[in-house]
Amino acid sequence: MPRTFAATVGLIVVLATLCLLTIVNLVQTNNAEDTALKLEQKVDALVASNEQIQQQLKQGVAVSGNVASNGGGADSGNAWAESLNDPDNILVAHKDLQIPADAVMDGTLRRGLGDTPKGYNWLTENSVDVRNIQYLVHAQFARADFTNPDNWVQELAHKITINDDYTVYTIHLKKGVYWHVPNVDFTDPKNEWLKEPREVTAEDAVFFFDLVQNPQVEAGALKNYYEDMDKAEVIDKYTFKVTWKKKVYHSKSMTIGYYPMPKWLFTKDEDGNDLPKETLGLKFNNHWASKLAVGAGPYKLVEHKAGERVILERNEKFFGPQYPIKRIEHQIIKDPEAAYLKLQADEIDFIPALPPPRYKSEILEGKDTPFTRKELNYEIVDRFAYYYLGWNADSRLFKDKKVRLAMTHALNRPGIIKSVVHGLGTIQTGPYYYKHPGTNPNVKPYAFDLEKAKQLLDEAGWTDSDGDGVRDKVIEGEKVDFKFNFLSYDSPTYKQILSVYKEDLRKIGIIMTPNPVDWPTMQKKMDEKKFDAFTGGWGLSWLIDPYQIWHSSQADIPKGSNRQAFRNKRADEIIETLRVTFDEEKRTQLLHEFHQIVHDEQPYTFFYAPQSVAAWQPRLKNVVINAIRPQYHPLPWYVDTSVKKKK
Amino acid sequence: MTEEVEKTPEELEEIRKKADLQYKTYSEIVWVQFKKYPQSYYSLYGVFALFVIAILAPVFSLNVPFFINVPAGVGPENMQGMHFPWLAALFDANFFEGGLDIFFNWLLFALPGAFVIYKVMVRTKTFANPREEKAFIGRYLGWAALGVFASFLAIYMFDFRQAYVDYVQLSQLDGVSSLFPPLQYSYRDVDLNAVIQDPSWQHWLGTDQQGRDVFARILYGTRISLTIGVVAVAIYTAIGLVLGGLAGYFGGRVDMLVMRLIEVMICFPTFFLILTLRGFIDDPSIFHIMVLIGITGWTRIARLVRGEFLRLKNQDFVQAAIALGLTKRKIIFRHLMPNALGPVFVAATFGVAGAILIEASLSFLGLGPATAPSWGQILTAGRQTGKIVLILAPGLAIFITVSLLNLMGEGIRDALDPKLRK
Repeated sequence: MPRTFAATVGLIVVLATLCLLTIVNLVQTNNAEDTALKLEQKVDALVASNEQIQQQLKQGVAVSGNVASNGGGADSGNAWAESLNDPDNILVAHKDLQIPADAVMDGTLRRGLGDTPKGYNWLTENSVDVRNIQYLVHAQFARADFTNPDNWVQELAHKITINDDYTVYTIHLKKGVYWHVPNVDFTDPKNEWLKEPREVTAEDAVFFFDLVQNPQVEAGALKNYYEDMDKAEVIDKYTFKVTWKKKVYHSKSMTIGYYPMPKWLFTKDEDGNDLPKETLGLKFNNHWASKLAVGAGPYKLVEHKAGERVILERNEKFFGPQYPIKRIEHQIIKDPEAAYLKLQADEIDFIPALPPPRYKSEILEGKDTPFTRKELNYEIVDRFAYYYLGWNADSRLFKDKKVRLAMTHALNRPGIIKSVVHGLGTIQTGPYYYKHPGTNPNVKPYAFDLEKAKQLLDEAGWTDSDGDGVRDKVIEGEKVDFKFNFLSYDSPTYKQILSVYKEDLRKIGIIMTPNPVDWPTMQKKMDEKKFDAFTGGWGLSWLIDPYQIWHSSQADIPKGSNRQAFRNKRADEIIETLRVTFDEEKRTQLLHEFHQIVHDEQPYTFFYAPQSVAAWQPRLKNVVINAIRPQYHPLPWYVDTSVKKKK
Repeated sequence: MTEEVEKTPEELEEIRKKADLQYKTYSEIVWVQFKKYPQSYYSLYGVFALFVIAILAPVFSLNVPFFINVPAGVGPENMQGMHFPWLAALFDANFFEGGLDIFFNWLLFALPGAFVIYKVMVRTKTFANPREEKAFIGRYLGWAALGVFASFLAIYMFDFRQAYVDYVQLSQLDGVSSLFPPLQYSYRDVDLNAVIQDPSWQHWLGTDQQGRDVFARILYGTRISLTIGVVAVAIYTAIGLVLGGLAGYFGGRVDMLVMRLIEVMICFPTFFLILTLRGFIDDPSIFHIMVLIGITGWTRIARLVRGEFLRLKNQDFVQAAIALGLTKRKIIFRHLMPNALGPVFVAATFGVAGAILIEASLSFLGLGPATAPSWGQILTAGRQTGKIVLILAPGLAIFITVSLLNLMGEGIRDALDPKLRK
């Protein structure tokens, strides 16, 4: 075969021309399609408005009648409103989940789910996906009001009383509340026994407390909170009592904020026969019924297809108000970028987090994007979590609080938030949500100041004595250079943050090497305490109990969460007092003091509270996003069904 | 019968010289053939140019001036007067972490040095004939390479470090005169005020998410790609030569063992094997990546060498050598190995291109060293930011390098093949 130089060049030119022609062709075809699409949409809109007019004509007054029966707040027609007048009842009227009067009581919400849950047993499964479904399928005894999480409002319980010592909780359940009928094949006679609707009773409530106390049940982290619980007893069919051994602050939310478990279901095997009592806990961990997701909440599971979708439908027999959305389809989408593409193509209605680079390109800098064209709506939401850099106070480098303070001064927090996460974050100064009343208003974030950092390091005895550009110090007779590895979770964001930090540290004479590892390796290294510094993040909760992360006792137990080895006497006192203090004012005071201590000691360099950008189709209305979890709770949302889907 | 005419020693010498002039070594034949493939021939120059670029990177781009003159009373006390910080910066282990960059920086001085010494030695020496001169060049190259490498090791072990000075800021003070490289950026200095910028006169290819100059990173990335290619291939060629040679020469059980080993290795998809092995390394550096590619890629070479050995073993010259009672070492290294090297050399050239691609893929997946300016990492930055320049620039760099190497490899393959001779 003759292979000359000229022939090769010729071939390349021909190929390039072909490529160009193909592109031109594609663009032209695309334009034609667009025009056709627009025409079609116009026709659709005409037909739709026509239909609407006809419907309104037919229904006449009925249109406004619909508003009266559903609107006016969810409390109208609440037979249990009366018990709110009882002075002993700790529950109050709710202000959240307001449904607008003109909400359309129909429609489908399509959204994404990270993965198909293996089962819906929320006691043993604790993935975010199971949580999100649990909030819709189950109903709590009482719920923290989303507008003010310190208030508790009625759900399954209509009245809850507490003794003066905060150790005995008496909970009165509403009557006539039924469990979902499981979504099984009733043509099979084997399933006959599941058909009959069953009432939610005190038996079911106490069954939950029995399970969480059962040593056989793998309820993970939840169990720690019930260590101080004594017992739960049935008083009558709708009343039960929970007793705690001692006064602990978290007893309140742990008692009234949880969900009953259907006893009639979880004590039986697949054929409806009783399971032996002795091994109930073991059987419960992998119970056959956990795939059914039987709850008493506003939505019920109608379809579960692994790797594809999970579909919920409105529970028409729900004891509370009927919420507008009729059907919630969860598609399994693992990648946020893919989720955004699906949102753009109108295959889903809502995504909780736009990928940050997309936020930059489509919203911050976008000229002609779905957001600027108003084809999509968005809102920036606090993620109710924070990120930090942790310092191992047991290591010889970070023993001194001046060194830790210097490390904070050397971290360019404003710059990193602006450039790496595109401004989607707020500088964090302490271990709580920055809008929580416990946040001390006098604590101001340390500035990014390399000169100050150098000065602090000098004061701490770390100086560049040999002129090699690396600070050193003689510790126990040995000259130690200030060089360390930064253990971090292997994510692009952390890598970027650390590569910025590395350069700033080099300027003040510290050599840092980022060490990004996968999650299991990271956990192993942290459990073995083999690190000088590590990156991390904590999800927050409204109820603050700093014990797990900040109490000195947790620094010495294996696999404890106090990895930074924070030991402070006064902080320990505060943490212990907080656990038995129910007075909100006193608590706030203590939390302020604790915040100040942590700020002064800098066991962590608190980094930022992340925000995410939720985006949705404009046909989704009244999208209320909560400050606390579940943040994207679609109960008050509705779908304007008159807006047609894109083809 | 006429008596044969005895030739005088002078005449004999004359004849030998003539023969020497006509006689062409194998490599000379190959070189002449190679020149007949223009695209391969120019690619060779291209690859050479890449190496020159890699070595000269700090001359083009560094944020340290060649000289800086700070007048009295300006800037910090210890910086006053005339300084030549560029030279020291090249060997600063605080800045150029890892030996790779320091090695290339050392080549910047060592190669011209070695060349000058060679010139001087050729001037002062006289050679009896061209063969002797060639032999001398060969010896000199070997010793020079050894010398350069040994001196690099000495420099690396010395671990020179110096304190950080912000020269760019210093040079902007009044009365300070300085001369910087044409681009005042290093591959690692971040600038959060200039993140993800489009190409401009300041930043020829824009900046990445941390405000690092992409052109500087591509420039320094050349070093990583070329080194990975050459070293990784050197490692697996060495392994392949030894194992393949053993299997081919000794045959029998050794052969069976090596062949089964090769078959087992081939069963693993190489890339996934590398990914798995990478999981065991906590803090990967470029050298880890080289070793990983090295220990997974040797099977092809081993099979080639084994095949060549099997073929050569039964040829007359080897049989003659055996009959003459030469030692095994002599037979293998003197008679078999040089004749088996041809195909290995071709495979290695293509292998360099392959190794560069593997490294780029690993870095693209975020499995390379965290802060090295590898082309694959710039590509990842492009994917994360959606900036087309950040995708095109490293993509083009990879494409050019791999194409040049492949074109060169094709030329060598054809030049080595007697059937394709033009």
